[in-house]
Amino acid sequence: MSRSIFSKLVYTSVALVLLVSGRVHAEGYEELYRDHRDSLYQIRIIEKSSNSKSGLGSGFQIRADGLVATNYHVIAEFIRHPGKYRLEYLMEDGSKGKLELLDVDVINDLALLRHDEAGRDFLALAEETPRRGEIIVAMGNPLDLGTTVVPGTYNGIASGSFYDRIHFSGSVNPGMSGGPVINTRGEVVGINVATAGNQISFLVPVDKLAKLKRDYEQRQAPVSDFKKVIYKQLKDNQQHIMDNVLSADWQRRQLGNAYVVGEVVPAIKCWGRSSEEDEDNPVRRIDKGCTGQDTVYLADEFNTGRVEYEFFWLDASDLSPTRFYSEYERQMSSFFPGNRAGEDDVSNFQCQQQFTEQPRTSKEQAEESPVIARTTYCVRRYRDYPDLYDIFYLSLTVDHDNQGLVSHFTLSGFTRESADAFTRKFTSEIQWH
Amino acid sequence: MALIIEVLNKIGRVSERHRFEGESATIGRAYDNDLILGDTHLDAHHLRLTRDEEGIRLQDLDTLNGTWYRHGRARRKRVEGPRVIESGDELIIGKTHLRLVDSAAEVAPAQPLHSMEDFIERIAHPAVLTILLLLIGGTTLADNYLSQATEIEWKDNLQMLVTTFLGLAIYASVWSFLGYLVRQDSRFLAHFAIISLVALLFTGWEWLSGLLHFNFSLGDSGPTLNMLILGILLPAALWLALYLSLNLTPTWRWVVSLVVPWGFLGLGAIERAQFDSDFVGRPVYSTTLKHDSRRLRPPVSMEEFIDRSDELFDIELPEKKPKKEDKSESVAKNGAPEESEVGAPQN
Repeated sequence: MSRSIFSKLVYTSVALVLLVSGRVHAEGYEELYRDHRDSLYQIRIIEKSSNSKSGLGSGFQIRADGLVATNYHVIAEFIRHPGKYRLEYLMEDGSKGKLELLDVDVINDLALLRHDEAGRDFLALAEETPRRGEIIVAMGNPLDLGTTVVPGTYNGIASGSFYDRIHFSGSVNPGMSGGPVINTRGEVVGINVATAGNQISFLVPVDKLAKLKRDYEQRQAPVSDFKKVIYKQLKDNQQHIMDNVLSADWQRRQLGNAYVVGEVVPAIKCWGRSSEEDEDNPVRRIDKGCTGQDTVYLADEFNTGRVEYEFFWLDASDLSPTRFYSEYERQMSSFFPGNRAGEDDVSNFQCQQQFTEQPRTSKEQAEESPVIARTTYCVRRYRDYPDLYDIFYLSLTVDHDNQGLVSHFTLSGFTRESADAFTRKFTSEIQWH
Repeated sequence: MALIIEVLNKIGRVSERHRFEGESATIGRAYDNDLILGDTHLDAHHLRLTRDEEGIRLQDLDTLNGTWYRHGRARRKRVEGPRVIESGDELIIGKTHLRLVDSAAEVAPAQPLHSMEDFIERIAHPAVLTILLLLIGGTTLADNYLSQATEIEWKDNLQMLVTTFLGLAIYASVWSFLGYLVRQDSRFLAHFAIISLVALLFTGWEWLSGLLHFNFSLGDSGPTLNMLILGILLPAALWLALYLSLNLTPTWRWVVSLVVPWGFLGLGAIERAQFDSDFVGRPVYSTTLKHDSRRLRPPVSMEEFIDRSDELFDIELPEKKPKKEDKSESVAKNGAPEESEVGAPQN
């Protein structure tokens, strides 16, 4: 009896606490929404010829004079085809108007816009970083359904990326891109940018936006040539990634009888897989692949800034060389570039293919015959950013009767100097034992 | 002077010839005719031919299906009552076609025997043909075995052999049948030997081209070389088949055997040329892999390879194709559109 009374008591108190805290939160979100809805915008890309929406996103005002922030990817089509589209906003109260594009940061996926007839409501940018676990609230207009308020928690800067992104536990959905994420004091801590599903979302930290805003305030004028600005950002970014990768300590990992490269920096993640030799599968294969986790979005069909490498070890215990090489060829004949790009963005690939020779690196093997491989190197050039290239490298050893090592990498959006340095480092790191 | 009656087959070629010296001859199914034919649509005594000072006189013997004649390319006409016909006229009785020729008529000049005849005789010799077929069987099995690493079931091998030989036999049969119809000369073994030799040569070329791809990364010239080889092998095979089976004049034989294969190859080349000019979103390189023992070129050091790669970066960027959407230059240059530009009603 006493037990049941006790448990009833516990349940009641828990329910009470939940109810109260729920009410507090609910009131808190209502208030946040009420206080800040006049700073929220829906950003629309309107196709001029049909006068219809061809893209939607969210945005928010960050200064009394009508400065508005959103994601670069929301307005990317406008930059690519300025003659075809115009920018428009729609406010909560139904008012509509024109927007002027001022500046962009493609690396952090930000854009700065302005409109003249703005109200005075705006969101302040937070000076302090939230505490881990702190409740923060994402706002935006998902799927054109109307303004939505999504609470979640701040989980620090996501590890394993070349770019700082806040890990936010909450749902950010299409259409909310570019919307603000605010703390309970109503200050912007981040900008909605991406989601990995299941309440794992990513935000651009607000300091990136603060910098973009500061740059604009110093300049006092909109950017005159966006391609030039983006070009510089892409070049600086690839240099930053390459400096990072090349200065890292490249730990080697065993793969079959060879030693290859693993996760050289935290932003590059590796996976592995292997298949054993059996009746149906006379060739044993071990795969290892490593990929830079993020790319820079330039358009729906064009992304860049990726470092990716893969290795395959194949061997067979009892197979004639001709049969082994038939299988080797069959398994290793489809490699693709690491990024997407279309005809308007890049040239065709230009390739050279040679037999290459490298001395075996370990001392006791220095006397032995060198490693012979069939090596392919291809590049394609970016049309709008002519110092940047996609690079494709593939090297398949051919000097063993029934063993093969494949090393492959792709770089997207790197300069010829970066490509050269990476290729030299990459090829010198692989060892055959 | 005698009368020659030629019996024609379905495609108008002569299958039998009969010579009549007398003043008259009868044709029909009955055994007392001068020319006895088995066509069930004929009467027992179908027609009579008589020779007089005017020529050959033709008389239908009041038959069920009648007697028809055709002069040159004209439409056929029914014979009503006695009629004088000329040398070379065609008679149609029942389903049988006959041609009446005067023994004094001129014949076409002799066709010279072609020097290829000797070669055809040699490869169609049973011993040579056997060797060819053994080679084809052997290369088929070896190729099947060497081109994969997994175990192969004997059933698969058998099926492969049957398919290969059946394919060759069907080709030979078709030409043989044509030859039988047109020249009463089927030459099945000759056709079989020729197509087997061509198949063997092509297999040899495939092996060689694999080696070339591995060593010299043929790239675009790969398909061109392949086309060149087919451009020789196919006309040769077709020429021989036409020579054996049809009565074409030498000029026509050359024209047909060159135009048909080259036409098809040309269409393929045009299609490929269109594809070449297109944008390809992935690198195009040779994926052929063979053991080092098949390597014919010296390797370069990795250092040198990377040094050489530097040239690849000099890619010329052609001007973008002008598109409708990029019309408003002022906006493209400025990036930030003027107020008026954005507000201007465009539609």
